[in-house]
Amino acid sequence: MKKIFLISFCSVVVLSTLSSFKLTSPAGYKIGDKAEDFALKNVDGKMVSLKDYRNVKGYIVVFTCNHCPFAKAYEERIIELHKKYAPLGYPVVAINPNNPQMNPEDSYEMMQARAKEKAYPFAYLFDEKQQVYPKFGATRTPHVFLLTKDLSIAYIGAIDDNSQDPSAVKNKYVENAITALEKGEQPNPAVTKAIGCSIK
Amino acid sequence: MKGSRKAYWPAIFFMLVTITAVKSQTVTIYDSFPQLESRFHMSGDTTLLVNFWATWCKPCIQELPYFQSLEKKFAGKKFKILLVSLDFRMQLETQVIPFVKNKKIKPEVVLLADGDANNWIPHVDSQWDGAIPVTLMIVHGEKFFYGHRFESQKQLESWIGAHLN
Repeated sequence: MKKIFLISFCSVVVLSTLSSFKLTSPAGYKIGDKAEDFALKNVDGKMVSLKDYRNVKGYIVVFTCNHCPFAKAYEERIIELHKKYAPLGYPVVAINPNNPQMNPEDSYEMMQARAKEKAYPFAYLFDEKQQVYPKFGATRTPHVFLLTKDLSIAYIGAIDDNSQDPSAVKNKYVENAITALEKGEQPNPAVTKAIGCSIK
Repeated sequence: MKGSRKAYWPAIFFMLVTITAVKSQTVTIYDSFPQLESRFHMSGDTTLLVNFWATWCKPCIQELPYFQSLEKKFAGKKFKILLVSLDFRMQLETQVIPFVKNKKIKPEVVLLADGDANNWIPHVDSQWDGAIPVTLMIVHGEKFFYGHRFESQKQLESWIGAHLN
């Protein structure tokens, strides 16, 4: 009887801990935190880690995916970001964090197809075990984390301030953040919010 | 006499169908968040339940039927449901309206086309990071926010019940 009581007590404690985790804001990196490197499979079949990059000043890590309309709306802008900033030492590192069982469009094979079709100039990695995005605290796609060379988090949030219309953008958040880093300043804003598809 | 009375029914039925169809097709577009926010200030003691969703958002679609059922449950009460679609403006005709029609969505649907989300998201709730679905309830001017998908009808109703007193 005591045992049963103990077990049920423990499960109540565990359950309430779990649910309280769910209710509080998601854990993840804050500005200034140092990110842990990862090794994820690229669409070309090779494993990619941040330490593999040579002569970089930082990384534009973008959690994105195939299926999400917001990710699609930003696809061209992500390509442009890489084209503009990779030569300056800030390559885009795209990561699909979604479980393809939730949406078949986000499978590794579909990632390969999309990367080929749009000629992605950047690595498009698959967070197959879904262990990387929770460490970052990514919650939606697209969700950007700008990292400095030593992997400290400099900016978290949206690419710019208009998801619907690229021509109506007033604030290019990621570009401004890189400009600030180049000047040795802190990005401002360092965190922005955006609508996106929940990572599943 | 009997026959002529019968003849009315198809006409009445047709009228009802037409009225419902017309009603379900209206989706107002709000270009800026303040337009939506002005709706938050309901007159008197009417409770407002606002759900942020989109046709492309699977978890949103999963919980929509719970909101549909609420409409029946609270019919005649001072309770208003507003479904705020975050679909892109250009998808209003191709996605949103057909969806509302096909799923026979009864609560009022509006489309918020304010792309500057970083600016308006904190006005809904400071804890919200922008992932959907989320639900906001305004009771006597007080805001309550739920930042996840409701897993069941029961969960939605008990969440509402907990704040309605």
